[in-house]
Amino acid sequence: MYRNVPTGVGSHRRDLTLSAMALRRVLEHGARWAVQEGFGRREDLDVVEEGGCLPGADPDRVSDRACERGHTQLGTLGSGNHFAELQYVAEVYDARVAAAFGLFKDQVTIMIHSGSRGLGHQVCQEHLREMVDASRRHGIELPDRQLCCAPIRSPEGRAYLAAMAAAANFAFANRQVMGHWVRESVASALGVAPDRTGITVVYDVCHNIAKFETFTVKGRTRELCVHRKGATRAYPPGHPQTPAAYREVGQPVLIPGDMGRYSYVLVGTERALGETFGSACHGAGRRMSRSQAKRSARGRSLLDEMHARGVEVMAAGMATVAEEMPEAYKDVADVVRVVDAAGLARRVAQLRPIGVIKG
Amino acid sequence: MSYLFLDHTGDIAVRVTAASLDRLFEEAAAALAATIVDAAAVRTDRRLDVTLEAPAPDLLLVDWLNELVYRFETDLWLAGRAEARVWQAGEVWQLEAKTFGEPLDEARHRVKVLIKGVTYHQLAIQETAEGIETVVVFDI
Repeated sequence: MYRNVPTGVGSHRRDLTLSAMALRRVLEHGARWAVQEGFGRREDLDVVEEGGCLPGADPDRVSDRACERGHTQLGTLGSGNHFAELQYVAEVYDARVAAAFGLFKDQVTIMIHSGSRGLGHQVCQEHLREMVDASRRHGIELPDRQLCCAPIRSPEGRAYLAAMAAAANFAFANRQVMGHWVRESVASALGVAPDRTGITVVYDVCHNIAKFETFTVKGRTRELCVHRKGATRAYPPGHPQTPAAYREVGQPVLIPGDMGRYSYVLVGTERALGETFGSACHGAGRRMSRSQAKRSARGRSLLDEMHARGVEVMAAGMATVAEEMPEAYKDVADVVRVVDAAGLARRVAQLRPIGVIKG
Repeated sequence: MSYLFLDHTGDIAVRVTAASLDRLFEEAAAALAATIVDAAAVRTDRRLDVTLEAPAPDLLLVDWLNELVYRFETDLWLAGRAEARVWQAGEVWQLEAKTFGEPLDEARHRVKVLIKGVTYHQLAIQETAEGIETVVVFDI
């Protein structure tokens, strides 16, 4: 996996470089493009949010600079809190729902956390810059310019949403390509054909996205723009946007923890629909600043510590490992218990890491 | 003229102080390079020029640093040192900068962190008794 999924600065697979036309198709079609090009299977898309392609994406709203940052980064993990993990199902809390997700105790799982890479960051920067001016033009007073904004239906708002959807599609395609290479890695390690690994996708979902979705508010059906920032969708059973395979149980909710302890799979609820516009938290959240974590890691061998916990870590840079060490994060079990107790999503399974790849 | 990394939970914040706006831009660029790699290991015998304009000096500062992020990500250009000239021309603020550095060489440079972009979070350039000061937050 570490060899097949590029991590670190400037690393990418020589066998995947996008032409300008191919990149346009990625921005328009997302994970669908990836499947058409042979990365993964058609049925993977059935369990990707929006089928792996946000509508309304306009590649013309993505600048040449953003495309330049993106064209060699498709199928790359990125750095910071991004990861690819080999895990196993340590606990099952709801056997019926777990079975519907295809999960069972002691099963090996793979979790990938990555996004739109430099392309998305460039889109963000450029539109933030425009929004700083737009806020002033629209007479919006800002407590902090990082919160700059414009009305959704304004020209600036529409332009951003079209660019954001294109960046989201890049992210869907990025994860689909990496997922395919993970399948190939496992096939190669086990000495079986790539279609005989038994790896199926449980779910692929955004955690920093604005989308138009339909909700009932005070008895009225309304289309709302829901921005999930550090949050993830948590739709209930029976919802039309819950994938057909999960319509009876609800949408899988993926909540990654830290690299040493565990991550969780939950399931969406009706309550979240009413209270949080069908959303749950996306992760544990940090407990230590990055520099605190690095200070705390000084003089320690984190790789040995992780090995002693039964977790093998491979990383492009050791500074990232220090910043991302387990105690830098809150215990995601506590966070998940709160989410479960509040009824926003219910616990289904706990996944413990065995192998961790960091950028 | 100096920079100091501050504790920040999710991202990286750096306080930059300088005697003038020109020096502030130069020092902020040095802080950005020191965030990505060990700045002492960056050779500065090659040059890349940058010109930019923006409606305000603080916006120009973010544009400048974002330009360096972009140059690093697309050309692996590490600007170990910069010479900047910032001035107001009518409605806009302009920057002419010479950056001195080299492309990333993984044999000599260990990348500490990738910067996604430079934020506008609490952005302000303030005058102090010693000169001017700003705090910049890098999104990583």
